Order: sequence, then structure tokens, then C-alpha cells
Amino acid sequence: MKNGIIRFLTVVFCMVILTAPFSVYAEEQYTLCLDYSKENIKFSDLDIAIYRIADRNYDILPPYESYPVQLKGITSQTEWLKTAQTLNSYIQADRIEPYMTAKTDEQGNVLFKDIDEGLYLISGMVAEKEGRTFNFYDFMILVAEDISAKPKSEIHEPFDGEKVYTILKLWKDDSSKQRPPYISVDILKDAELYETVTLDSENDWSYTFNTDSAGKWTVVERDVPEGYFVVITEKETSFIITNTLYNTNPDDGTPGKNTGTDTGTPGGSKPVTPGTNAPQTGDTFPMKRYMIMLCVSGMMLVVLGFGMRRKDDAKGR
Amino acid sequence: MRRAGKLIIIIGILLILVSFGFMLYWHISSVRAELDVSDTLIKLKELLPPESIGNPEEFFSMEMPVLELDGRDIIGLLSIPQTDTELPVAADWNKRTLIALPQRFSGSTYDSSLIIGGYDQKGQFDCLKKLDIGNEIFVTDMTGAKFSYTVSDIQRKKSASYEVLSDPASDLTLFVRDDGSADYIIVRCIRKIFE
Repeated sequence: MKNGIIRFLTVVFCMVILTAPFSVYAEEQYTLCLDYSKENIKFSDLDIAIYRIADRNYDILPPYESYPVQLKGITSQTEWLKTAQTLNSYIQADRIEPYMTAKTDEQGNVLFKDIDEGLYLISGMVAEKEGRTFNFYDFMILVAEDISAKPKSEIHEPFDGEKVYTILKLWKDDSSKQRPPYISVDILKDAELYETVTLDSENDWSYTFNTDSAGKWTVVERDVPEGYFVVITEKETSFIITNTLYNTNPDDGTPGKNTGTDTGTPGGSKPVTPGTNAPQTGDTFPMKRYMIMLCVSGMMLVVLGFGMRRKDDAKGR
Repeated sequence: MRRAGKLIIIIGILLILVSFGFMLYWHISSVRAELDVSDTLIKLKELLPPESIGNPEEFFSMEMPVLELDGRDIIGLLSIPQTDTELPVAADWNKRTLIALPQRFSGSTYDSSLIIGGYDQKGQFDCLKKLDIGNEIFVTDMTGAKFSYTVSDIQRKKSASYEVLSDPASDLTLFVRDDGSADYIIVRCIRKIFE
């Protein structure tokens, strides 16, 4: 009887040990299918790279955790696109190895099989077809089941001649006192460093450069000041680099300055109402009116003075 | 009596001279402010990214980004085609510098709560006196997103406070204190929605 119990417990223990790695540690794996087609044009043989940026709770994974981006609190598709673009700029600049790469088939489809659960960045790309340039955007997708997606794309006119690119530095913070005296920006052409420029108040936090060479231009901000996260937006030939001050309230995952006045809006950062309730437009001293009054009074005094003198003269005669 | 008359004439002339001095000072300040604005405006228009239709739903944060230009934070460009006016809008309210640029009193264009105040002088917010209901007004933010508005109401008030200026029915409010009457002219606008 005793031996029987011991044998039974041993069998149970062995079963637990043998099955534990599969039941406790095995992560679910999924398939991601992407469709690279537009206007019935299928893009085959495109090299697509995906990067596993975060887990399903949007906690950023190595080696991306050092990048100055914010994933939590994003609520709009536009902000996701901007964040994907920002992350991909840093990834390309730092030549980070992708999680997986694959080529599109004849139908323009690409399958990523057996990938781990998590938030993925799909690197955008430019493809030429039928004399037109198709720009497939960087985007992010949460893979927590088998999923299909179609990257957003735009058609551009082919590159012709010189282009003027502008880099513009914008801020979302409480005041200019928190900002550093300058920032450094790497300009990359096809992921190769082209130039490093400094933006400061002397150049109005902007930089313009002309180029007649085609290629994929990107920019990244280096040595981002502490407390800020970065969003890089490409708009035609403008690169807008916006530094936003992290919300200092740890309970609120949403970015934005911590003015503590407007908590109702996402981002919690409506500009503060001035301390005084009255606008005090600066023209509380009605200068025009006082000038006219002074002038009229002066003229009246002159007339009065001449009147007195004339009266006096008349008396004297 | 003759001496008193002479004294009164001298005082009168002095008052006239002082008033002319004030006028000259006021005129020089206005011209300097106008030149200052035009310089900032030229730079701003050069740097503004390409225009796109502003859609508030695209902005998850209501905070408007600023560009630091000539030592001032600028939230965007205010355009009033009716009066051929284009003005940079400063981000922060400061009555001392109001003569130079219109300034945000409060709010954000992304959640239709923006209130902008200006100074009653040529080339600046004197243009509000020439506006009529139905006129178009545009606010372009520093990312190039252009928001379109139509003047829905023009009010004259003896005083202005945040409560008076803020109106939930208004998507954009512009105001100025009229130098002549000392009344506040408050222009209410509603946002145009493009399908």
C-alpha cells in the first residue's frame, strides 16, 4: 500500500515536471499576414522587416527601451503612425537587426509564421511600379492572435530635380526655460549618416538643405533632453521633430505637460487660464484719449492766454 | 494779467508739445511692433510645413506644439482673408508684449477652445472692427494643420473676463479692446467641418 502511494506520487511528480515547460512557459505563437497591393497593383519581391518592439502590455523590450518614445496612452491612429515613424527612424539609424524578414509573393502578400505575441513595428518602404512611386508607411500592430493587415500607402510623383528639405523643432512643454540650449539631429540618406546638424535659437530651431539625389531621407534627434519624448513626423519635404515633456503624474500614462488644470482631456494639457480672470489686454491706459485731451487742453489754454493778453492790451489802451 | 496770460500760453504750448511727444512715441512703438511682426511672419511662413486640413480627431493631446522664434513661442498663424491680415500667434499671454503679437489667452484649437487676444493697432487686431458675420478665419498650427472657421457672432462688452470670453458654443474666440470706446470687441467663430 505504502509502495503504491509512493509510486503514484512519483508518477504524478514526473508528469508535472514533464508537462510544466509546455503548460507554463510555452508562449503562444501566431501568424501575421501583410498585403502589399494598391489599386490592383501587387508588389512582389519586397523585403519586409518586422521588429518586436513591446509585449502585449506595451512595455518596451530591449534594445528599444532606450529610445525616447512613448507607447502608453496613444489613442489615435495618427499618433500610432507618427510613433512608428519615429521608432523606425531610430532603428534604421542604429542598424538594429529585425526580428524577422520575409519577401512578398506574387500576390503582394507576405506571411510571418510562428511569431511571438507582442507589439510589432513593420518597417515602411518605397516601391516603384508603372512609373509611379508608392510609399508604404511604417506602422505598428499588436499580434495577440493570427492577424492580417494592409499597410497604408501613398502614391508620389517620381523624383524630379532638386528638393528643399526642412527640419523643424517643435516643443510641447511648460516653458522655454526647461529646454536645452541646442539639440543635435542626424540626417540620414538610405540609413547612412549624411550630416549632423545643430538646432538652436540662432537658426530658429530649424535647418534647410537642398538635394538633387533621390533616396530615403530620415532624421533622428540625438541626446534627447531628459524628461522629453520625441515624435518625428515627415510631411512631404518637412521633418517635424516634436519634443514633449513627459507627464510627471505616474498614474496617468498619457503624455503631455502637467499643468494640473485640465484633467478632462486626453493628454491632460490644455493651456492654463491666466491667473487673473481679466484679460488685461495691455491697453487699459487709453493713451489715444489722453493724448487728445492733452492736446485740446493745451489749445484751450493757448486761446485763453491770448484772450487774457488781448483783454489786457485793450485795458492798457 | 499780461504775465499770467503769457504763462497760460506757455503751459498750453507745453501741453500740446507733450501730447505730440506721446503721439510720436505711440507711433514709433506701433511701427516698431509692425516691423517686428512682419519679420517674424516672414520667418514663420518660410518654416511652416506644407498645409493639410486640420482634423481635431487626429490629435490625442490637446496641447499645441510651439516653435521658438525670435525668443517667443509661436503656436501658429492666424489668417483673416477679409482684411488681408496674417499674424503669428504667441503661445503665452503677456500683456507687456501684446502690442507686438496677438497671443493665446487660453485653450487649444484641437478641442475648439482657443481664445486669442490682440492689440488695437494698425496691422494687428484693429482688423476685428472690420469683420462681419460669415467672414472666414483660419488658424494654421505649427505642424501645418489648417483649421477653418466662420465668424458667427460679434459682441461688444464693457468688460472681459475668462467667463465672458469662453463660450462653449464658440470654437474660436478673438478679442481686442477698442481704443476709442474702451469696449471689448469679441468675435465668436465656429469651425468649418470638411467631409
